[in-house]
Amino acid sequence: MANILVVIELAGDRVHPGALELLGQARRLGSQLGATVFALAPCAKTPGYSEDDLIAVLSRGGADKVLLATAESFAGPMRWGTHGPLLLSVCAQRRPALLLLAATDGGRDLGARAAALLGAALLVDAWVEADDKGLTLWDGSGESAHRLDGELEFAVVAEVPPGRYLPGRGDDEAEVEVVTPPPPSPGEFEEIAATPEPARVVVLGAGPAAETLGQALGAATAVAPDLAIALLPTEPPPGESEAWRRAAVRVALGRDAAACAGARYAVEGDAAQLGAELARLVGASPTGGGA
Amino acid sequence: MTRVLALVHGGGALPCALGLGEVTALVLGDPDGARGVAAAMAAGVARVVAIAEDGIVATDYLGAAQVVASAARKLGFDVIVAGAGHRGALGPAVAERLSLLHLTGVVEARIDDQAVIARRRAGGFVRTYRAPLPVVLCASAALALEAPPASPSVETPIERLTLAEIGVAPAELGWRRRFAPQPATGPTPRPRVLPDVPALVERLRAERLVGGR
Repeated sequence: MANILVVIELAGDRVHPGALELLGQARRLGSQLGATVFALAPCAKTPGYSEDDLIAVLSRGGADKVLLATAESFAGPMRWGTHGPLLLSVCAQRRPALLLLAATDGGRDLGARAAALLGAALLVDAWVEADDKGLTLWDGSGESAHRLDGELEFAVVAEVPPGRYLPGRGDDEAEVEVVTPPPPSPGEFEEIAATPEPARVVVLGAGPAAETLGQALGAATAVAPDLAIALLPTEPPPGESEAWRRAAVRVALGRDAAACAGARYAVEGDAAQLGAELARLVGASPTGGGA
Repeated sequence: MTRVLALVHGGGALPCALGLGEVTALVLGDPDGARGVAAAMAAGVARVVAIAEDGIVATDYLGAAQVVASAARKLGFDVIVAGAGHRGALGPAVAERLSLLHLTGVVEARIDDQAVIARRRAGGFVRTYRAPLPVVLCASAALALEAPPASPSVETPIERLTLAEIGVAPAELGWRRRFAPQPATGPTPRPRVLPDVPALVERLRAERLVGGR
């Protein structure tokens, strides 16, 4: 395998944690398979070079080479109209065998279109791992998963949910290459308004802790919540709740949280205390329950 | 009137498409096909076109996109609205095949003077975008979970197209089968155990799921 390309999505001026985890997994794959790991970092402003700045973070995170592209159009959320031409241009030059994106709104916007353009296989809920025979790739988990088998003679685009892998912890210094972004496509979608909207949150559990947490987060009923938080144990179990099953991100708090099926994140301990602490921390934030 | 092609495959397209203009529902394959036809009929769309051939079921997202793009050229359109087909990958792939603009995560759209105004919900914001027609809109995954809209309407006849009629060779779809992953038991996801609540809050903030910082 020659090249692995990881698209680095920024959340404000920081690397989205999902992208950093993906870079860590790319590093592990790269070391095992002898591949070079490229981190494509589209930034609105040129980053600094101090210890906590983007390039240092990506170096420590596992990049062999940071491809740095700076343009004002990268200031907004990542999407094909603004970031697609850059990705396309880098793919044409580097011809990655594996293109990795965190399965965020932005990652999904880029991933499918890039895959179609490259004629690549596409995994939208991917596990990307390696064994003695090479890459092992799944789409989905457990019994409902699908796997790409055999010697892959084509490129693969994989969208990996945040939280699936651990970030890398290296101390190597990555090479930095400045990439000139192509001009934005003419006649693109033009953003004409933006309004903050809190995430839709559902809290599962009974008692004062759940009630307080629900109030702090502005929780309500929602068909498809962005976030579901279960204070364990719940009656019935979270898996029987439609809101839990349909939530984009699920969090379990309580003594058996690590064993809670379907949760992306868990914190172990006394559920009431954890819920109260969470309510205090997010309730104190300037924008309350939403982003 | 604006010609709207709604890709019923996977759900979610109809709530976004209705109200944009004259809607043709395009239904691919089985078993989703039967449900798609029923939903389109119940929603009272102007026209239902079904393409149900074995090759479509077995192909991957790009094979399906090739079918949709060829059908769209034959049927004509100003806006294509895609839903959750191939878990949201169909819309962007169709846009690529037709060299059109696309926007994902659309929760609402309207037509305004040969342009589309679309609202996209992502990253703690609802952003409004405008683009000239033609475009591909990809409905938010949340719309696929909503009950399809119902409208008392006269029964819409179903038109059936074959791959040959839209100019797609079965071999094109067969070729893409090798890119489609095959059923196999995969890893079991386990929660990422975070050390404490501040670490959880930092994480949720980075994913814009709670406010602050």
